[in-house]
Amino acid sequence: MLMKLRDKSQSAGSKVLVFIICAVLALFGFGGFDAFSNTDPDVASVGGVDIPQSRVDGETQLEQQRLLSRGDIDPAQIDPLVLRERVLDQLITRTVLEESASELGLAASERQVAEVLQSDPSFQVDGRFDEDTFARTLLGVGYSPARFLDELDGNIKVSQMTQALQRSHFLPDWEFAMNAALLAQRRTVAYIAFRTDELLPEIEISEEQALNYFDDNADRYLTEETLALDVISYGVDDYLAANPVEISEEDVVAAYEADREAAQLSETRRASHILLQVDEDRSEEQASRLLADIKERVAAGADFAELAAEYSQDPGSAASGGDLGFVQRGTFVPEFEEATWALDVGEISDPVVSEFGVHLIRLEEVRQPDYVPLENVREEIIARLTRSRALDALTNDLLPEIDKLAFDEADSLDPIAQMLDLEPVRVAGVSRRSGDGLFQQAPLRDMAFSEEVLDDGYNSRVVEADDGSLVVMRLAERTPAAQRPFDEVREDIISLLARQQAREQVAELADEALAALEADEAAAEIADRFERPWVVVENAARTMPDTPLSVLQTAFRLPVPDDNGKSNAIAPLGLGDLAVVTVTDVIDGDVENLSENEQLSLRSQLLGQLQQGDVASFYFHAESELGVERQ
Amino acid sequence: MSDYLSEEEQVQALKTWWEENGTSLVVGVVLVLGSVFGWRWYQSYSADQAASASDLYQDYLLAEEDAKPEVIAEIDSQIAGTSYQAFVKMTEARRALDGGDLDAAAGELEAALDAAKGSYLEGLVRVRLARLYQQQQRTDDALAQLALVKGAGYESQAAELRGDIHYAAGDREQAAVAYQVAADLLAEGDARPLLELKLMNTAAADVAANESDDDADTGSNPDA
Repeated sequence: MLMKLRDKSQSAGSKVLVFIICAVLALFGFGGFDAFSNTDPDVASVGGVDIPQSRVDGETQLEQQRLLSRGDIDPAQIDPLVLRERVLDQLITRTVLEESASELGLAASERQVAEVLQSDPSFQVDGRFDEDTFARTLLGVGYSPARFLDELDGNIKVSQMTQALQRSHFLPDWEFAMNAALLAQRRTVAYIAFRTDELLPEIEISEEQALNYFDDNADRYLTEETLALDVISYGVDDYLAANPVEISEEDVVAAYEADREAAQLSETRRASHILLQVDEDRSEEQASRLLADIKERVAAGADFAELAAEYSQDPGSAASGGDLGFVQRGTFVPEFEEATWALDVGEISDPVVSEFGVHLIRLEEVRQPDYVPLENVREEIIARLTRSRALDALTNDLLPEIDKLAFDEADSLDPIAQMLDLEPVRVAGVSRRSGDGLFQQAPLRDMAFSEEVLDDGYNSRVVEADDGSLVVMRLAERTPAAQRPFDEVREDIISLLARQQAREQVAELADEALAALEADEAAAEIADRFERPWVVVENAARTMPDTPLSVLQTAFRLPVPDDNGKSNAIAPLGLGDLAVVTVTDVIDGDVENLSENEQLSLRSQLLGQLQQGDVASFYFHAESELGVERQ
Repeated sequence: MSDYLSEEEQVQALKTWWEENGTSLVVGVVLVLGSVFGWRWYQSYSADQAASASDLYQDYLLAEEDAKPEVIAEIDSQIAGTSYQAFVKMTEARRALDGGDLDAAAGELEAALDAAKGSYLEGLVRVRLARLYQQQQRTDDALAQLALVKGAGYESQAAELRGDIHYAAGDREQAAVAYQVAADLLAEGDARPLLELKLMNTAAADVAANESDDDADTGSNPDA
């Protein structure tokens, strides 16, 4: 021991080291040593805060799981590199915000953290925060409690900061008027449209042109690769033929009862009631006594409806003799519903207490959906139960067995055929994108074109078809992609070339018309020359229902017209169609002329945009002050 | 050299070393520990201060909705000099403006500027102050405030606002110049759709300025 101490204290260098270690320990605790054993490179840093590779990888994995758990995304479509880049961007943004909150000296207090934790339902048991649930929930999403609290701390600070910016934002009148004038600006716009469809009938494509195109683009005219496959498909019917299933009478009755009960949930009942409210003048007990009295009077022959009209304090029903009409379960408060559903028709309940007061209820009528007698549906139920038994057996027993056989004896379908007593069927013409019969289903086509089937020539693994059948397949023949004959594609090529030519002509015409406008040729003359009318839109707004959006966007992007009154451009109308657009007048919007609703919506639109601009300026300021480096 | 010393000699050497250096080592360790704990105490003290300012700010947000001035004043006095005070003053300015009191709003924003000076918020508060001054028709003060805005992010915003002020005064030419400056200074990744509209709208500023004040000359309307 002494030896070691002395050895270490020998050199000046080791003294310095002891000193440094003491300081590091005191400052950071033992976690500080991570800094010296760094095998985890940083991919970015924000103002001196490093973002290590492991964090990006971890977040990327979490994000991928989140995306996949949504269920509507094909895993093959997620590019891990793109995803990682996006996650890194998000991490940087978050770090910039967190660091700028720290720079501003913001902090999340224990009270605020506790409030968030306690109000999150996913950490609660019976409506109260539960520590075990908290830890378990976090584990489930891959967070340690420390890391979660750290992020929560950041989130609280950041939301305090962004909310403060937004809540304090204002839009002075002058700024509103100025921006509103711009957004509500109107322009008088005229355009002349050149459309490919109008030119197409004039265009002739020669046989030679088409042939040339075919020769130059032969690889665009290939047939698809197709496969012929030997397929064994073992479905419910096959199973039942070999393994008859007996359904007992008890099972049939149980299934029938379950169906009937489900149907009966839609039963409706019509009740009448007399309601007495409970207040200072009348206690619950007094009300109950009075209602018990009334019940006796009805038993002695008095009319319930008349008594309801006289006594009931339910303003909605008193006038109609207390009638509440037909209702389903779930409509009334629970106490009322329970009592109503316990009555026989014509029977009157004992007084029932609810939040509204005390009720006396009479059941008037029950409307039960007619339910078919067992005999009418017996066959259906038996068929259904038989099928479901067979499906169970297919998935739970046969699938693993066949799958194992397909894998162990990968060079032949015979063992499976023998086991199932079925002959393989040959299916031809299966391409990657289409197929007949079973191969209309994409998972089966995918299996046919999988590596094991297509390249290795093995049996496929078992695929479950839509109807529950178990399918195993094996490649029989492969027809590679081939050149299609010219005659087959001639028409396609001719129409393609014609369309191309039409586009070119449209572009030439539009250029000519634009040049004429620029050369101050009169509008009417241009219309005559091109045999097309001008469409004039007086005082067009930035969007108009009957004017193509691209025309308006182009018009509003043009400079304000000069003294000659013109400002011109070409706008695309889609599919190669073009419009020559000219702006002849610009009128700034006037807030005063807008309706109150228009003003309100414009104000909230502007407020939103300027608010966002404030937050963005703050963000980009912080980003540049902190300095972001990416490795 | 330790390899050649006997056990006894080694103990002796250690004692000698300790006599020579012991005091300074102890003093050094005490100093280090002292400053470390002092630093940690200071850190935790300022963390506590920040957390309590944070709580007070949350209290303010609750009070603000019901507008209890005495509560607001009390809170304000306890968070003086923090960013939270700047937040409160900025929000109070908006409230004053909502109530139509321009002078009070300007006062609050000027107080916010004091609290925000030197922090990331300074540029933001100055831009807002300029907006307000312009509403008070103190155009010179507004432009002066904008000239003081420094730093990436805010400079572009300030330039756009300068353009707005020129435009509002009918000076499309200067507005166009300012808008172009704003666009040039725009941070990578930032997008301000309104700025783009303003740029396009002032693109032909030299001629447009002449016709903006009369409604006559609309040129030849190309009616077919």
